[in-house]
Amino acid sequence: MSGTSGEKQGERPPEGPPTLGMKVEELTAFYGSFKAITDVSMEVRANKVTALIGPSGCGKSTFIRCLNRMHEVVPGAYAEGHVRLGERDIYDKNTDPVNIRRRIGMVFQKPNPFAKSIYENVAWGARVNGYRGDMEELVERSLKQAALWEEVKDRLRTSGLGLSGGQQQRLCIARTLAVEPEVILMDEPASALDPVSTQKIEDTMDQLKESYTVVIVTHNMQQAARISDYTGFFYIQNMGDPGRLWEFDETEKMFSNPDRKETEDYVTGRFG
Amino acid sequence: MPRETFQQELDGLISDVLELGGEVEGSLENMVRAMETRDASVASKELGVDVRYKVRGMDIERECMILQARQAPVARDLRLLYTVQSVTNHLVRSGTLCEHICHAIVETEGCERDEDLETALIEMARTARNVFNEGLDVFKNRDIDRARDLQAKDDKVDLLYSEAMNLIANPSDGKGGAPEWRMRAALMVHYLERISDHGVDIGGSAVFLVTGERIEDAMRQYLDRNVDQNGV
Amino acid sequence: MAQAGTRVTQKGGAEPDFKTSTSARHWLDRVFTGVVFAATLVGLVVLAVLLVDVFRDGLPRIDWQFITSYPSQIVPQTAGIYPALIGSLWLLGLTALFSVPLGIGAAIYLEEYAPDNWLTRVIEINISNLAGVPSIIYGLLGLGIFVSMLEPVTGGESVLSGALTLSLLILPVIIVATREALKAIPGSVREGGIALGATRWEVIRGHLLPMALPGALTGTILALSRAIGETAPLIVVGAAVYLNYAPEGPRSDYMAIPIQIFTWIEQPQDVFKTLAAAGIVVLMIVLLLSNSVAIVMRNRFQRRG
Repeated sequence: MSGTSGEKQGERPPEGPPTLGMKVEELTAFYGSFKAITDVSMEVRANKVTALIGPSGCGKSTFIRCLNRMHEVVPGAYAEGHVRLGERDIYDKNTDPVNIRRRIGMVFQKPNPFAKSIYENVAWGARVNGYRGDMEELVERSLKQAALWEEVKDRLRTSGLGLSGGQQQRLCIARTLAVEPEVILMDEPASALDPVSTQKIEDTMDQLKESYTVVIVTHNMQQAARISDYTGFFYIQNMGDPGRLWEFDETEKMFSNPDRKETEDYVTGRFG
Repeated sequence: MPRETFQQELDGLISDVLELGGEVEGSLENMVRAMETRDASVASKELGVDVRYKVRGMDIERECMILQARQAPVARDLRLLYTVQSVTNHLVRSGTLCEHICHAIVETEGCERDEDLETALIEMARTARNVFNEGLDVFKNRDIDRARDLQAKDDKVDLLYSEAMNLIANPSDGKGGAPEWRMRAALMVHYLERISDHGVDIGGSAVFLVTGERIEDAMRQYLDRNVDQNGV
Repeated sequence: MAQAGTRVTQKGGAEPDFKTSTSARHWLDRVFTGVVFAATLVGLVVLAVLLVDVFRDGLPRIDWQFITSYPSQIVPQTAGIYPALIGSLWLLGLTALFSVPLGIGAAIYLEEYAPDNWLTRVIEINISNLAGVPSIIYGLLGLGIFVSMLEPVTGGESVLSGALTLSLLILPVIIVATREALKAIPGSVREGGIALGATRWEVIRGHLLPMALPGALTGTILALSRAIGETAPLIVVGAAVYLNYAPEGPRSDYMAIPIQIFTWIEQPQDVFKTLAAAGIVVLMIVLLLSNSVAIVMRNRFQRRG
């Protein structure tokens, strides 16, 4: 019987395989002939939160979309280089991008739940990917992991669009969790939300990293400092240049004593 | 320039610290002169000055806390606030110790002294003052190369300390001076050694401010090597 | 030059820079409101006058006998609209059968699959243009293709040919309406679906089609309403002006209500004018019923979401 599965926030069933991390090697991404980012290499460690910061237009969003091959959905956009999930290169010719996106999920800046019931929002992705288990149990587990279950358990059949902004975003997190990814990518997930909702999302991220690998793009430096283990700083030297990964290190170091001047200028707000 | 107000507040904070430092330097100068000339009236100028220093120190600390709360500083700004609080503490402690020494000078005016011990004391006082000034200068100019030299100067103070302690423990017969003076002299030896330490720490904090590393971590390698060589 | 943050206006006694007299502006506002209201009224009043006139003449003539009888030049008192009614219903059904899937399918292709190149743009422009082509041209096209060339399949001047011709006629309208409905769906829905590891078709079927259906159905309603009222193209492709039987299959001959109305109006006697009015009323009732069905379907899709 589905129902109380005793799941704590963020926990997935204990018998799962170890979480995978990602390795990016010399990634360069284009929109047609325009080079948006160049030669980015970084290691995204498993079960850690990696934050990406940097001024607007430096390619953070482009980069994170390359991690689950969403970048190439834009007509004319493509990427070169290697991105490994575990051992396998997701840009390999034999790899199916559709399958990759199930394993590397994404939550967007503006909450975009489907115009369906809360239940359907969570179940649809799993169903489309051929989930064979107990759907009700999956929906409940995913909503619990996203810290939304208690607030919606009595109205699962009502529309997802009737929730508040913070709840909608957690619903989007729940539906991403329902397809059981390894990695969760978040593109400024809290920037459209009020401080209380933001705090709830941050708490959720903290729990999620126990079972998943998390990458988050954020404009909010205090947020990056609070929740991430590693931080990458993206930077453009001149207008029209492609963005680069300027510095990447443990978050503690990036916010107490970064190596490069541009990084320190950025985190201390002296950019300009 | 972005965060101009914040930058001005930080600059103001530093100038407050340097101003306090200058005053403590002045107190130390008076202390040394009083010892050299045996003029208690010079020393009496510094009586009660520690109260003022403590108040100034608290003002600076409060300013740091307000900046921390309002401006959420990170990286070099954070290191600066941390360093300012550390240096202020050293300044206030040094000023207090200086006041205690001047108090002792006034109390022992006219007492009979041990000539050798007095010489050592004056030497220690001069060196401690120099180390302190040097440390404050290193902080002011963020001149981290000189910070390492400070450690060497502090070694000299340690030698003088040993000498003075030896003289205190073993007075020459008949030339030991009044017991009251000897007791105070023992205290002054300790205080002067600590003033020198404060000066070294002030210089060392400049290293942390600029590099984010503690000078001890860099020095530790050097010291460990020393121990091995001596085989102790 | 004013610095950032300083006040723009002067303080203390000087005349402000803005006009104080507002009664002229309010008066203009009221006049304009009246003008646009009158414009709306004109359309409504004309329509109301037409409807009242027709219904006054035609409604009394309608009875069960009218609906189930065959037309007659000789005995107009017992004439009825039965074959034309059935013919129009056949046309409506077949046209919907062909045009709706084709139209929605083409719109999905153009909006979701077609690459953004010159060929696609050429197709798009031409579809918009086709919506404005006079309906009799479609009649000629239907005559050439469906009636002559494809005669073995369609049976020549059959209700099938008529339906196919009408389908061509209203296809552009359905395509454009469906495309607009799809365009109105924000890209974030597609992104959200793709990010869950769904294929494009799964996203279309699961989200885009249900969300676009209300808009698409509205366009379809409008298009089919137009089709029912078409006369010229049907004449060209051979709808009959008189039959004493209703169509029995897609390859059969047929009549249509607009043609029947046209035939009656051509007669000078008053009795035929009444018949024509009655025919118009029947046509409007058919329109109303088919629109209602479509609206109900649209609302059901909107609620189910």
